Amino acid sequence: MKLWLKISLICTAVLLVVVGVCSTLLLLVSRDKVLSLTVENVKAEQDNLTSSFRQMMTLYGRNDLGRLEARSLALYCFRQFTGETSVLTMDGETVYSNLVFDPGRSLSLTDTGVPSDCFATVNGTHVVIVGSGTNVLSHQFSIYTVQDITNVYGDISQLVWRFGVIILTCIMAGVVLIIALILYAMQPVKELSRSVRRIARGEYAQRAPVVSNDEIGELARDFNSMAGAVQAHVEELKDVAQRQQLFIGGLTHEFKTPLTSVIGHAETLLYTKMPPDAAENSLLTIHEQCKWLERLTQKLLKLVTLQEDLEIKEEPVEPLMEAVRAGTAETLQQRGVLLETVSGEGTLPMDFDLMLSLLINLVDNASKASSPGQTVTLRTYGRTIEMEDRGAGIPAEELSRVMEPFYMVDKSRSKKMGGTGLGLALARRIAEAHGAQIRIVSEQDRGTTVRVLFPDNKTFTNP
Amino acid sequence: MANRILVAEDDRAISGFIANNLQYTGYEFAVFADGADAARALPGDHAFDLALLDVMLPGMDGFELMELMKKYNIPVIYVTAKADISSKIKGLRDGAEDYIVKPFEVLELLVRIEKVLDRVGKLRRVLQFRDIVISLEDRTVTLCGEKVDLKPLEFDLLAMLMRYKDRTLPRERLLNEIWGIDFVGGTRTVDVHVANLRKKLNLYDELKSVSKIGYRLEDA
Repeated sequence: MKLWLKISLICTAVLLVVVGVCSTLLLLVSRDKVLSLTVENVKAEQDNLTSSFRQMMTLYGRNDLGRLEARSLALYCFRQFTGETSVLTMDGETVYSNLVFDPGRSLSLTDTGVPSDCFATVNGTHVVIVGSGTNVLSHQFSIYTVQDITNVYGDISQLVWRFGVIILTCIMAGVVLIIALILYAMQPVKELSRSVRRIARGEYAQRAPVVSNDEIGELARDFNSMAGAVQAHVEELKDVAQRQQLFIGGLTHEFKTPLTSVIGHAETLLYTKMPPDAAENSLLTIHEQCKWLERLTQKLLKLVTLQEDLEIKEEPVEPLMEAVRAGTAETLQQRGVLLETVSGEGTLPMDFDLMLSLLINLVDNASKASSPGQTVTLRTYGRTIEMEDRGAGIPAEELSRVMEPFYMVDKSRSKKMGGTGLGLALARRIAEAHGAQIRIVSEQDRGTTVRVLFPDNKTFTNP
Repeated sequence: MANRILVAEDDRAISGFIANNLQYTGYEFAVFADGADAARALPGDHAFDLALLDVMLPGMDGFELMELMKKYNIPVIYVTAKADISSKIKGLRDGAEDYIVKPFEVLELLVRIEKVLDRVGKLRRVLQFRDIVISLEDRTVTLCGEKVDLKPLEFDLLAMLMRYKDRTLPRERLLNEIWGIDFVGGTRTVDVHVANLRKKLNLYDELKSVSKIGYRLEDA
C-alpha cells in the first residue's frame, strides 16, 4: 500500500472515531436535556393539577362525607382541572380515566403514596407518566398525568438524522482535504524518487530539487550530497579507466612498431636470399629493435611495480648527485653534452634507487633537448631538485601533456635517440610515490627547467 | 618495365625491410620518412603505380596524403598500426584500395600489392623464368616455345612461384592464396602439385624444397 493511502486511511479512521464519539455524546446529552425538560413541564402541570384539586376538595368537602359522596366530589373537582390524559384514583380505585389504555399495566397505579414518573411506550406511542399522591378528607388520592411525547422523540430522531448528515458531509470533506494535503506534502518525496530513479539510470549529474525546509527537504539535501559524492567517484573511475585505456592503446602501438620491423626483417632473412651486407643490416635492426623492446619492458615493469618495493628514508643529496653523474656519463659523452651539478649538504626523504632513476631520466631528457657543447645543470636547494637545460624547449600547448605515457614532443627525433615516451611518466610516478610534485617551466628555443618539489618534513606521510 | 611504388613510413627499420622486399620482388620504389617531404616531391615526380602509406606520419599524415594520391591517380594501400575499425573504415571510404595492419607478414603485403596492381591493370601479364613463359591473360604456359598443359591450380601455383622467385613460399601461404582459406585438404596437396610442376616443366633442380617451410623457385 502506498504511504499516502496509508496515512489517509489512518487519518480518516481517527477522524471517524473522534467525530463519532463526540457527536454520540453530544446527542445523548441533548436528548436527556430535552426529555427532562419535557418531564419538568409535565410535572409542573401535574403539581398545578394536584394543588388545585386539593384546594377545591378542601373548600367544598367536609370530613364527614361518605365514601360515595367523597368519590363524586373528587370526580367533580378533578374534572374542573384535568386534561384529557389524567387519571385519578381514590384509595387505589380508579375514579377517573379516559385513557385508551390501562396505565396500571405500565405503572403500578396502585402504588399509592409515592409519586413516581416514568417513560413508557404504549401502543407505539411514547408517553411520560407522572404521578403524585395527596391525602384529602382522610382519603388517599393518586393523580397521574400521562403525556404523549412521541413528537419529542420524533424531534430527537430528526435531530439525530440531521446531525448525522452534517457530520458525514463534514467527514467526507475532511477526508478529501486530508488526502489532498497528504498528496501535497508527499510531492517532494515523489520528486525525490524521480531524481533517484534518473540517477539509477546513470544520469549522475541529476539533482533532487530542495523545495522545503522539513525532513523531506533535509533528505533531498543529504541525497544530493550523496549523489555528488557518487558522481565524483564515478567520474574519477571513468577517468582512471580512460587513462588506462589510453595507456594500453599507447602501449600496443609502441610494441607494434618494433615488432613489425622484427617480424619483417626476420621473414626477409628467412625467405629470401639476401646479399651478405643487407642480411647483416637486417640482423642489426632486429637486434636494435629487440633491445629497444627490452628497454620498454623494463620501464613498464618499473612503472607498474613502483609502489611495491618503496623504501623511503632521509638520504644525503651529494651521493645521489654523484650517482647521477656516473649513471649518465656515457650517454652525455655520446651526445657531447656537459652536466653541471650544484648541491648543498642537506638530506631529502627518498628511495635512493628510484630517485636516481628519476634524475637520470631528467638528465636524459635535458641532454636530448640540448645541442652538442651545451651544458645542463642539476642543482638542489632546500627541498627542491632542479634540472635546467638551454635546449629546444617544449611548446606551451604541449606542456600539459609531456608527462603522459608515450607522449613525445618530437617523435622521430626522440625515437632516434632511443626514447620510449615513458621517461617523464615514470618520473611523475616516482615523484608521486615520494609525495613530491614535478613542475615544468619551458620556453621554446630557450630551454626547460624541471623541478621536483619535496613536501615539508612534517607534512610528508608515506602514501 | 617494373612497377614503381611510393613508400611513406617514418620508422626506418620498417621502411628498410619493405624496401628490401620490394627490391627482391623486382619493384622500383621511393621511400619517404616524412609526409610533407612526400607531398613536396609528388608534383615533380608522380610516376608511381602504387603508394604504401603509414597513417601516423610526421609532417603530413596518411589520410591527408590520400588527397594528393587521388589527384595523381595513384592507388593507395595503408600500412598502419591503427587497428581500430573506425580508422579502417575512414581509410577505405576515403578511397584506399586496401588496409594492412602492423605487424604483418611480408608475403601478405606483397600479395596485396600484386592484387591492387592487377585490379588497376598495371600488373605485368607475362612472366618469364628461363625458357618458361606464362601469360596471365590467356592462362597459357610455353616451355621453349611449346605449349604445356597445366591444370588451373597448377597454373596458379606456377605463376605465384615465378612472381616471387628466389623467395621461399611457405606451404600455408600457398594454400591460402591459391586454394583459399576454406580449403579443407592438408598441405600435402601443395606437395602433389609441386611434384606435377617439376615433372611437366622439368624443374627438378630449380623448384627447391625448403625443409619445414615450403618451396622456392631458384634462379641460380
